Amino acid sequence: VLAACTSSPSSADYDKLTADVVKASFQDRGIAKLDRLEQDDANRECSAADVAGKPLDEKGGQGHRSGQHEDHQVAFGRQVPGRLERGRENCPERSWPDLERQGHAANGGNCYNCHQISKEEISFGTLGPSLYNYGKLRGVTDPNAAASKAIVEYTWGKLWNSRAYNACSQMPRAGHARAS
Amino acid sequence: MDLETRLIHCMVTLQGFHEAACTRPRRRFGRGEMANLVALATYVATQSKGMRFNLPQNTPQEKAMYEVGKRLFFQRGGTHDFSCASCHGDDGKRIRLQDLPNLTKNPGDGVGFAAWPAYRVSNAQMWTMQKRLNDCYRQQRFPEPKFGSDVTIALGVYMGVNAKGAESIVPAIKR
Repeated sequence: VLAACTSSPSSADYDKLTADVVKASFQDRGIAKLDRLEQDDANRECSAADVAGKPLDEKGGQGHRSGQHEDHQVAFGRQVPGRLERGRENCPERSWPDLERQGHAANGGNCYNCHQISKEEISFGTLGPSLYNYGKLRGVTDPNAAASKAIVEYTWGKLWNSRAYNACSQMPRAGHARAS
Repeated sequence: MDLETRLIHCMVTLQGFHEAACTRPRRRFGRGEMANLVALATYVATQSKGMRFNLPQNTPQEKAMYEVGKRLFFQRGGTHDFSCASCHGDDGKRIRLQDLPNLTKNPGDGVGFAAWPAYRVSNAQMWTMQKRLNDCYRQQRFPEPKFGSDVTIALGVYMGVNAKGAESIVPAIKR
């Protein structure tokens, strides 16, 4: 494979070489089939931006361009892992694939892997921002109140498809990925 | 080739082993010839204990593997959109309480690439870099990289070159 390279390969040559290497290197394992390597536009563009060291604009546009925003608006109201009003109990240790195998279609988001939420849980990750007092800081005391509607819908949308708000957010698209 | 594929090359071409006996990792890391391979890799790597990483980038092939490794490192996919960089692209992050080394640069002596092969206390096994990468991809919800495949070699080159100057502490102990 490497012999195909010229003396001064371009970035596109390395992209092609990488695609060939990926194709030759992976095999199915359990429920993780080779189709998981196929990138949608959002992942392709964000990966390329990371390789180039030139991050895409964090907010807005990219999500719309790749159809992410429309997706979550159409889907609003469908179940995401966990329910907002049940808070902490919806963020268990178990991962989504594990829960799916056990027949629990939407029963937890593994939130604490990356986020602080309650002070009672000291084993939390820092890959995402702290969500301690998330509702309080946004003026929400009753998620069902009319005044809370906008922030509740935003929060639901963020869980369903984080990329609709931030093109290259590292947060999984909890609803979008499983809907597609 | 990385250390393990180099060892397999000798085992197959000089010693007459069947390649499949050494390279079939499905639940066989730590068993049969794979156990011997892990032990050999640990022994050989330990000869470099205390030395600082300085991987060569002199040939087009070495440079190409670095560039491929870089692209693999940032390749987002799977059910959760994860790439290697999701966890290992920034300083000072952790998942739950586990510190995560930034592997896009030298993360420090005996950290990241400079800590493998290592003994995993949590499952009482020696893990080589092949096993480490295999399990990273499992956690990414990706399909499985074949043992010794170019994906694993390229990522090793990328991490090893980035770790330039880091002191090897192998054999390390890990959670």
